[in-house]
Amino acid sequence: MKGYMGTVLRIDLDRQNAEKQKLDEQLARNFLGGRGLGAKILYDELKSGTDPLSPENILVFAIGPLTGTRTPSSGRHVVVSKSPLTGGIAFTSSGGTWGAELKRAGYDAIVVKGKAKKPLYLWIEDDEVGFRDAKEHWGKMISQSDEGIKSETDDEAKVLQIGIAGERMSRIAAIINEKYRAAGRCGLGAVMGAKNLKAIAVKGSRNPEAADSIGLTRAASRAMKMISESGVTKEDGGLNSFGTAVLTNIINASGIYPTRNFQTGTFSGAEKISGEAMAKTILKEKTACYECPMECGRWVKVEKGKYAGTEGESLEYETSWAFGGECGVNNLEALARANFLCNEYGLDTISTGSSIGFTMELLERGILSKEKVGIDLRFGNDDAMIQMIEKIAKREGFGDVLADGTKAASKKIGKGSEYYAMQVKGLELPAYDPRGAVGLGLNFATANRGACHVSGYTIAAEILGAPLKADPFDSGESKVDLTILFQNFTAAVDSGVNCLFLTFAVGASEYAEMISSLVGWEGYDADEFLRTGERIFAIERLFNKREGFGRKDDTLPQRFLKEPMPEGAPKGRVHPLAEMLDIYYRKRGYTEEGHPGKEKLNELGLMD
Amino acid sequence: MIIKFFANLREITKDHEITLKLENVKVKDALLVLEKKYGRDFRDVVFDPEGELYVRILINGRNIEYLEGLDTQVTGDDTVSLFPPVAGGSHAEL
Ligand code: SF4
Repeated sequence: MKGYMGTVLRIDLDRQNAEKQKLDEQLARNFLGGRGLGAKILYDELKSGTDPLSPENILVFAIGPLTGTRTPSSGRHVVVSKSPLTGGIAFTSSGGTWGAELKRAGYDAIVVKGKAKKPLYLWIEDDEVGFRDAKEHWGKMISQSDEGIKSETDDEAKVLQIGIAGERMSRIAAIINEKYRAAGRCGLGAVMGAKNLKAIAVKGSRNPEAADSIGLTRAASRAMKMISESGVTKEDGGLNSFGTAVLTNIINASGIYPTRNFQTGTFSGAEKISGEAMAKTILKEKTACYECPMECGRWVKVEKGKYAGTEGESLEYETSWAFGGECGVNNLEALARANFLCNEYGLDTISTGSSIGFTMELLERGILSKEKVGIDLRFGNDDAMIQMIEKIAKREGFGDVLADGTKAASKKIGKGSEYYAMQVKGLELPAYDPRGAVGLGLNFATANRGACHVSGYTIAAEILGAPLKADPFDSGESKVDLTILFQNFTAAVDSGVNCLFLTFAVGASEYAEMISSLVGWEGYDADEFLRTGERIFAIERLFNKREGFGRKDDTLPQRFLKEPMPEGAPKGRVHPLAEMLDIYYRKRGYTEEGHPGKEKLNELGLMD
Repeated sequence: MIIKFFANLREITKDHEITLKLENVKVKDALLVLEKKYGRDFRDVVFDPEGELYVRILINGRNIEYLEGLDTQVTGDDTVSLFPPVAGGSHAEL
């Protein structure tokens, strides 16, 4: 089996032991790698009911066959575990080059179990695996510990790590690699913190081999050509010129830019914090992950004013929204500062911004008082927002309440605050109001890790009109089909593993061609690729079922089901979830409880 | 009516937003007025070489695809937003 390195590294932190295990070919064909491989390992090996922050939880760092190859945008890795934020399956991916480096070191995945007695980090250099004391790095800002770990290992090592938020087991803590890239969602930084695992530094010297090298070159070139021809992904196209924050204006114009904790979908300050505004002000240069011609990353620098000195890779669309529209802040420099702090402390930007926006609404409604919160956390008060980020990271004052996300916070606060916690299954919503994009709303409700846009990004069809077109308000059968198709496709892409943005230019048949020429599997085609995605989605469901998840959890915050959108194109609309959910389960071959049915499990080869 | 331009379109129009004194016209008529104002380059980004609409046009936030397309009526109170393909996908099949 080419393309893969053929080895899974098993780490036992209790005994500081590392073992190499052969990767089974049938397992690889069924689950590919990344998200799929991680879900399968969790499903097979984690006892249900395990506390996500206990030593027994399993943490999988996985890449896929395409990672680290010459196929485009292939530097990503995926982290899979049981989420301390949702209690269900968590998968979260990040760009950069760490994933590609892991492949060069000779591994397809690292599976971590147990808990170290004292903080340590792993240093992996090809076959050598070392357990190193992390005392010097514990409690440091990410940029410092990145440098520190490199100086102890190798200047060229790629470092993935947690910050202070993860050390303090914040359930919204991220895992950061190469200082600026985050596997942010679902709080897996806290799982590393609970295991006393500060970081994993990697350096490798090998290259994956391809079964059909000429075929792979042809397939990769074809994908590159499609990127260069698409208006979205080409050089000087929308994504490259303005970064992902190019979305700000179109989402706002469509009336679904969540504003002040989803009270409305139109933000008067959107233009000021858009990708267009950034390009004219704080943008210094474009940045890219491994082998990616799209260069959607932004290097920003604030040169004057109270946030002067803020510099780094920053302000992806979701992040600029989380501290912008969500918190009612229209100061781009403040958003850059907020992003910088989240990177330095290792916090998920979406959940952090959402937790702050939630608190702002509770203050506005008098459910919380300024005295209780400790600072004047009004909508639009960027100073207070910045202060609160530090408090969350350090679990100081009211920050301690928010450090576990909105669901846990609302339980502590009570007084009806649950209504204003904009989360599904515990995961905070990203930057789209489901009332005006109902396919995405169905995806938010049904996605296995909670309210996740990248589990089924139907916005592509519903708002952006490509590669398919779909009326954002239509809630009929074809919309349900669309959501399912996007969910399956994405599950396979996340297991491949390439950047999801590659799907802006490239479809399932191109993926299948890249995989078959790389790995050498007979008859591997687009259908098998999509079927693999369906299987992965289903095994995640089975994992969640065992943890007690079902229909009751496939829902949306009540606000979207009860409060009509007050303005904009979706004015007067609520989300028609109830009518869509039955159709969704039926079409997926799931039971009324939302669990994969026997027939479906048979069909997907998941009966055991 | 208010016309708004976004992303790379601004390189051609240099304007972010303009007001056109037009009442009850079709989208295609408004586009002709804009073409006169901004020239051939504008037309070339609005339509692809086959003459198909290449940009997304929203009227008060609603894509004209789900209204009457280029025949959709626009009134003086409407806001028309024009976006080049900004994200989301090419013509690749899923
Ligand atoms: S599209 Fe952006 S996030 Fe994706 S690989 Fe390229 S630079 Fe990284």
